[in-house]
Amino acid sequence: MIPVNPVITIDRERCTTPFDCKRCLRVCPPAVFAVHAAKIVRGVETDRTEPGAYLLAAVYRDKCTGCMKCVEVCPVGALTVAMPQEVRA
Amino acid sequence: MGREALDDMCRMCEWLGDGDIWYKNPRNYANRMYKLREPGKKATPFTGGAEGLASGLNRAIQAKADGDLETYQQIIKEINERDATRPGGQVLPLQDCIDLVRDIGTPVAAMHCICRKTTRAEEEQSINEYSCLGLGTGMFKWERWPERYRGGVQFLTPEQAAEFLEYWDQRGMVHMVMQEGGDFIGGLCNCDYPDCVPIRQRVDYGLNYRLTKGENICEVDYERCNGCGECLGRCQFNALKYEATIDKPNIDPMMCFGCALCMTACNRQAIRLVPRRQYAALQYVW
Amino acid sequence: MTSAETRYSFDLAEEMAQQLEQEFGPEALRGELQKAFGGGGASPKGAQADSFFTDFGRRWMQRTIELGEQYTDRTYETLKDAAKKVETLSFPFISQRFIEIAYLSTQPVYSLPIVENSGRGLTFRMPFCGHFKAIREGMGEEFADQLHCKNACLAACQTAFEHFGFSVAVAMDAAVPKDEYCQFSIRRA
Repeated sequence: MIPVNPVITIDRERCTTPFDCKRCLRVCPPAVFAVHAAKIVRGVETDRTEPGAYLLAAVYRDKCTGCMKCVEVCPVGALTVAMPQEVRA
Repeated sequence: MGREALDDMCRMCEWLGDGDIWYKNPRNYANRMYKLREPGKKATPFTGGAEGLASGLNRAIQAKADGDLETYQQIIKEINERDATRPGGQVLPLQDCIDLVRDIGTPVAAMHCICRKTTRAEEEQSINEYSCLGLGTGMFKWERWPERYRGGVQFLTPEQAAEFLEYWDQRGMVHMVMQEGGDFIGGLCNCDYPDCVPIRQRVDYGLNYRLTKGENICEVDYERCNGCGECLGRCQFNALKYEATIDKPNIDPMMCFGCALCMTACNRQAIRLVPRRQYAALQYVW
Repeated sequence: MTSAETRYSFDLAEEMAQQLEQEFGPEALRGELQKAFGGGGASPKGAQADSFFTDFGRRWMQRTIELGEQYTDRTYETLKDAAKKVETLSFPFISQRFIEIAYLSTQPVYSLPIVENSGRGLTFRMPFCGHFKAIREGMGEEFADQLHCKNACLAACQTAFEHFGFSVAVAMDAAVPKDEYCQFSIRRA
């Protein structure tokens, strides 16, 4: 069997201020997530409460075990974590 | 050290060392303060790492997670081929860091760690929280990019910088020099897995040129070691473990990065640094 | 939201650069040489030429400091503020600023190649010296190649550090036309 990892989806309509929220970034044991400012503006410190100013991504997905801790902790229900076969079904 | 020593040097020392260890060469910290805009030349935009989301590594990781190992390995190989032609970061022991901030790495300012910000959404707002050191005259312009220097910066005296490094060393952080724009050493970082992007890129994905091993390896002096185990848990590179057979720690020299965290945790001076080039088969392991 | 960029400039003021170019650029030097020695064909005595350039260098840096303080910028303000808290930061960085201004304003370069700037001192290079070119054109190659002009750079560097209370020794490590650039090293005396 070739090892595969869960598919992680982030609904950016719901996850709008990930750098302010931090919950999934903090809770994930293998630190799968990363957060970046959508754009870096000269002379400006990005407002972390402004919707869309920061973007969340599941960068290190090959480390995801499907433990679901991030899904449980997400306050806006923006995350899904499912094995590929479940996604297809 | 003559030219014949080049073979057993890391590529940065070969390119930027002028015959010595590159991070001890003042030239690699030298920086102008001003630049006039060349007519017709546009300023390079600062992206703050946001391009990382669409990077080759990200594509490789997604392929790996989907079970496509062939694509994963192909992309990693391509990244390594490209990285081999450029300088990267390097691990260095605490004492080298202290020498550096006392002498050539000025100005030095404490600031937040961009890796921890990215990976764990850490916000470091003051000297009590800052964990990274920015070097060079560029630090006088930090306000130009407040997002890159989120939480501000604090300029430090050499003594304060040494204390800062000692503090983070005690906390178990690996030190590394980070270069910016090819040959300018702009950062002295205190790093740990999994937050640290370069450690992770090397340890998890084999991007070996992003973070070069240190000049030395750590070696246990079994005459002095009493097996107390203070050093256990300090290694972030899977090189140090407890060996039940001898009831003492064991360091795998091939795995060791020479960060010396095990050494600085030892109260009996039972771990010492040995130059990598002292061993025939280690001198090429960077 | 704060916007430092809208409030401050981190760059050198163009007006200041133009002023310095006008007063101490290659053309100005050529004019002064003409006035002092009568230009092409003339061969002023070594000591005379040396003191001419020493004087030129000193005035060049004095004026740079005067204008550089007048036209401050955010980089300099941050540096001064940092140096107030961390005393060791004034050397060599404050003087480096004025050396950069002096050369950037009068030389055909977009940045000054710095070889070292640390607590030990400052070393920089000047690869395409416009002054040297002007001396060759105005006074002939033979005179130019005797490098009396080095006294201008030595005096300018000396002045840039002395003005801020640093006693330094300035050395010339490399020189045109033999080398591709002139290199000056300033160390604490």
